[in-house]
Formats: sequence, C-alpha cells, structure tokens
Amino acid sequence: MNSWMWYLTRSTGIVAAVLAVASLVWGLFFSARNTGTKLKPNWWLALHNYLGGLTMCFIVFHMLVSFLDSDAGLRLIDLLSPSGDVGWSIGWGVIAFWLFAIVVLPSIGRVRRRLPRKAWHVVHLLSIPAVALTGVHAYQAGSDALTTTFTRGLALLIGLSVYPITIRLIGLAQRRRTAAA
Amino acid sequence: MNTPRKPSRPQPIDPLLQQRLGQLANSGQSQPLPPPAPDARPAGTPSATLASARPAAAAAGVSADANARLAALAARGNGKPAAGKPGAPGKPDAGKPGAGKPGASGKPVGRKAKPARASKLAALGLSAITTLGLAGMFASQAGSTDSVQLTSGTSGDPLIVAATSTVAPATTAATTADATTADATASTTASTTASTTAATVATTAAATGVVNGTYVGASDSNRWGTVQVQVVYSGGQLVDVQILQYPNADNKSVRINQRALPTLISEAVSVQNADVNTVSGATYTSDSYRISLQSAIDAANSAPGITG
Repeated sequence: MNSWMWYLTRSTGIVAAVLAVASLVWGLFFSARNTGTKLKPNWWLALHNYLGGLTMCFIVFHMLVSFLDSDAGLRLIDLLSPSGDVGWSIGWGVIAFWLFAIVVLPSIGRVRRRLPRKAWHVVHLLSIPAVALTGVHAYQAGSDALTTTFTRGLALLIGLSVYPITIRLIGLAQRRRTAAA
Repeated sequence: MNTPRKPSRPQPIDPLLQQRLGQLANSGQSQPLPPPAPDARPAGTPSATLASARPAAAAAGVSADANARLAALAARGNGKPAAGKPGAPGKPDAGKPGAGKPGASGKPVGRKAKPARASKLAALGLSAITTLGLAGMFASQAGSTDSVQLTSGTSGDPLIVAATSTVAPATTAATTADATTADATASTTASTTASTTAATVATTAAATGVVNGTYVGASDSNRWGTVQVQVVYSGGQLVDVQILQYPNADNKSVRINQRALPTLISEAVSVQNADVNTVSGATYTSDSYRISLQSAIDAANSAPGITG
C-alpha cells in the first residue's frame, strides 16, 4: 500500500507540473491577445481558470499522498512550511505550493471582485516563479529526475513556458512603443 | 457564513431617456402610454432596465417619442439582463414568464453558457488517466527491477567506480595480485547458486575453505532503486566489497549513497560478514546492501574448492 502512495506521489507531482505549465501558457496567450480568432476569448479564459483550479487540486493531492506515505517521513509541518529539516528540495515545492495558492485563491470570483485589478494582476504574475520553483523541486526531489525522459520532458515544459512569456513581453513592448508614438 | 447577496442595482437607463422621463414627470403630463410596436422586441427577452423603466414611464406618461426609444432599446438588447435564478430577490424581472428560459436567464445571447466544457472534461480525464497510468508504470517498473541483471553498462558507471576505488584501493591491488597468481597456478571457474546473478571466478584455494575470488551477490530492489554488491575474497578473508548497482536515479539518492556506501563497505570488511549497522538516513540502501552482501558471502561459502 505504501508503495502505491509513493507511485501516486510521483505521478500526481508530474501531472500537477504539466497542468501548471499548461495553465500558465493558456493565461499568457490569453493576456497577450494571441488566441487567434477561431476560438472565443471566453473559451480560453474559462479553460485557463479551470486548468489553474485543476493544478491546485493535483498539488493538494500530491501533498496528501506524500503525507500518507509513511516511508517518506514527511510531517504536516514539512509540507506546509519550507524548512531545512527535510531539505530544500522539498522546501522549493512548499514555496511553489503557497505561491500557487496565492495566485489561485484571489482569482475566485468574489475575492477578485474586491481586489483592485492592478493588485490582482501583480499577484497573478507570481505564477511564473511558482512554475519555475516547481521545476526546481521536481529536478531535486523527483525520483525520476535523472532519467532521460524526465530531463527531456522538463526541457520541453521550460520551452513551452518561455515561448508565451516572450510573446507577452514583446506585446507589452509594442504597446508601449505605440502609446509613446 | 453565507452573507445575503445584495440586490443587484438596476442598470442606468439611457441618459437621454432618463432626461426625458424627468422632464415629463416634472411637467405633470399624464398621457397614457401607447402600446409598443409589436415586433420591436422579441418575446422572452426581458431586461432589467426595461422592466423597471416601463412602469415608471407608464406612471409618468411618456410621449410616443420616448416609447419608441424604449422599443428601440429593447430591440437592441441594451441594458443588462437579469442574471440569476428565476425568483431571486432583487431581480426586477424575477418570476416573469420566460425569466428562467434560455436567453432570458442572464446569459448574453450568442455566447455559450459553458465555454470550453468539452475541453475541461478532456483535461480532467487526461489528468486522471495520466496519473493512474504513470502510477501503474512505476509499479510495473518496480516489479521488474527485481530481475535486473548485471550489465557492463551498469558496472561502468563512473560513480560506482569512484565509490569502490576510494574505499579500498589497497584491496583492489590485492585482487589483481590474486589474479596474477591464478595465471601461474591452476585456476578453476565456478558458478554461483541460482539466487546469485553472475558467475563466480574461483582462483586459488584458501586455507580457511573459502575459495579466493570475486562473488557477485543478488540484486535487491527497494523503493529508491536496486542495490547489488560483489565481494572479493583473498587469503580466505573478505578484503573488498564493490558496489555494482546502487540507487542513483536522482541527485538526492546519489548524495545519500555516496555518503552511506563507503561506511557500509568498510564495516563489512571489518566484521567479515553481512551483519552491518544501518546508516542513518540510508535505511533502504542499508537493508538492500545487507541482503545482497549476504547472498554474495553465501555464494563464496558454497563455492567448490579445488579438487584433485
């Protein structure tokens, strides 16, 4: 049974990381107005919101099964606070979890309506370091970190994240240039 | 914890219309409201603005001009539709016929009520299937590592070479000397028992009954990887333990085992058996190490001596 907790810990971690990158990519394409004309913006936004929520669910599931795996020896405090007791490989994951929580929770309808748009936007940008920390956590703590498949997959996810970030930055620069002209 | 929702504020009426209504109310005109154009507004598309504006207009007695403006507004679908359930408090058109029907439930006409529903379901399904698939794959991999055989690629791992050479370089030299002796004298090749995974090369007979040589232990898999050792006997003594496989799938395992394995090796050489203490922080490796070491020692003890 414990072995299955371990397998689930690994698989939920991988799936959560993929979902996090997917949500980030969706959001960046949406905010860069680079969604094309075939699909409506509300479709993109709804899917982005949904992927963010699903990511959070899988992260919580990942933490839960790693806590239930008695062989891992993780206490509740280790899962909720980054400490040197269990090593920073786990600590990066804990920080990423809190960053995701800070990003996702204010995006829930009622909370978001009460937040100024600019504050919400700044908070939302925390998803980028959260995804980066997820990658660090996966590489340092993952049981499969040194396998070729994992390394290639990680490189692919990083590439997928960098591309829309670049598009977004270029779009911002163009808008500023247009506004200045 | 649920706080009662505030009744939604009706959307402001068109400013021109509002101004006109105010003028009419001030002038005290009380003309009856003429009926609206029959095809001005499609049936079943009431709006909060119009629903609240119409009685007021009727009370004030608006002119035909204002009424035509109302009809035009209705035809344009201007004004925020009443969102929410039929009968909800604060909704001006709550309970009206058609308020709960599609198109009158507050969703903008022309937009899907649930966008990306199929994609959401696909994402959820894919995530669940991937999770279970990966877990199953990990389980099957763990089951198959029990039968991992010693390969040249594994023994050529630079980390493994480093681990063995740093621990007992002197004993490696001793083994080489044994091999040289073996060339000069008669040598015998023996095989290990079925539980061990590689052949045992016997060289010279020792006084204690254990044939000098190298004996490979069985591989033992734990949740972090596989451990397999080989022992070197010389002069009837266990002079070296070499690591053929150890858990090195991730950086953390490598760090742990590079610290733990030299301790385990030196202890085995000093006690001359597999009864070594567990290294703190490397419990799984220690357990697997003991199992593999014991099988290698068993193989050495059961190896046939030189006959004739």
